[in-house]
Amino acid sequence: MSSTRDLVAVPLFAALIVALGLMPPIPLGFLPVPITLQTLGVMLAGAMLGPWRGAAAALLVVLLVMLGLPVLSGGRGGMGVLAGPTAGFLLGWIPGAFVVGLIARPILAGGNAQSLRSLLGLIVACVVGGIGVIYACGILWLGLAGGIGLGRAAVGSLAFLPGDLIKAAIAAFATRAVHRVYRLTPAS
Amino acid sequence: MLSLYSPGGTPLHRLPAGPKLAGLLALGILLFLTREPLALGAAALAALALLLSTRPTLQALARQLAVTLLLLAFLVAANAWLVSAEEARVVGLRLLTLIAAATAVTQTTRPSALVAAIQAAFAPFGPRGRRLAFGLGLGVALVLRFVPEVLYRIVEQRQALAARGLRVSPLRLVVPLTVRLLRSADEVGAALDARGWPPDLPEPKRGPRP
Repeated sequence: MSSTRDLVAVPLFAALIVALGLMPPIPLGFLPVPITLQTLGVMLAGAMLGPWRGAAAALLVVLLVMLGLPVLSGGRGGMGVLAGPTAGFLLGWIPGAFVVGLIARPILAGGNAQSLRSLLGLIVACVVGGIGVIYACGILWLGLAGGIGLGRAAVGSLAFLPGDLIKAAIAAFATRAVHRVYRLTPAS
Repeated sequence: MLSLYSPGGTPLHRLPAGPKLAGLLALGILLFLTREPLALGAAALAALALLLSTRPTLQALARQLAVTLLLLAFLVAANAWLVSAEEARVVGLRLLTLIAAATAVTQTTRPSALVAAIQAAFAPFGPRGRRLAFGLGLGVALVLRFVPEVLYRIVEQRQALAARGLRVSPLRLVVPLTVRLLRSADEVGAALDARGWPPDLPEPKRGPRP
């Protein structure tokens, strides 16, 4: 594993996040934040690349949004999105991927990465980072800048929880399966 | 990939990217300092005038703003219903101003000019900042190069599943896809190493690389 390879993996996973968003989003519930597979890409980047490079991949996507490229689901992009009411859910990808990686790394590096305990640990990583952190950022922004208050913003966001829990489980299973054929952490 | 930039010769098009970004940042801070409906209303009108001054096509506006404006309308309605008409007005005007101004900047600035402006913002931070700026610029270029590649592999993977009579599920799609991405990261990394990459940055003195 060379340092150049590490550097290439970051934009590759950023491209994965963008590509997953090009599948059509599904609007759900009364909060109009459409459900997409993009956060699945964010969780995968954190779990597979580790905290720093995972966060870097998410940062690159946010940067592309800022540059006015239509990289978000439904071909959205531009600084208008970063000024909009749901900007927190997007900016939360960066610390979200970081936390997923932070929890997942030691689990994958440990000796028994294929055990049931490790799988549960990976699910916890994806739920805490990919849902907990991202929701916290999104709710904070929606509640404060959107003016509807934290409580209402949180209740509204619950509509997306089922879909995101499924995504977290998929990300955990996928990471474990990939780790079996391609060691994600340096052999110790 | 097409960007949301649309070419033109309006005054905002001619303004360099740096001041536009700085102005947007300042606007974002200023807007949250006041709740005065008159000031916020004037700001919103000015931002809309700014957006119109870039002579956007209706199609471009619809593409960029439809979803965001829908969200905004929803938020204003939610605020008016749940909190108060005053809060709805403040939130609506603030976000409308920011969205209009940001869209005006996106409309009139090439992505490459924005990358350069962001990189320039790192210049005061010395060699480390410059290396970070270099990495960000390269990262953006590589992502744009890799997106069609990843899309192609998703299509390939779907075809491979179909050929075996298997139903497409997220797990069956994502696992082979990411393994292939990681392997190609190895290949591209090795190719870059073989070509003596990364090149020396425009920095005379640099500590030994780890």
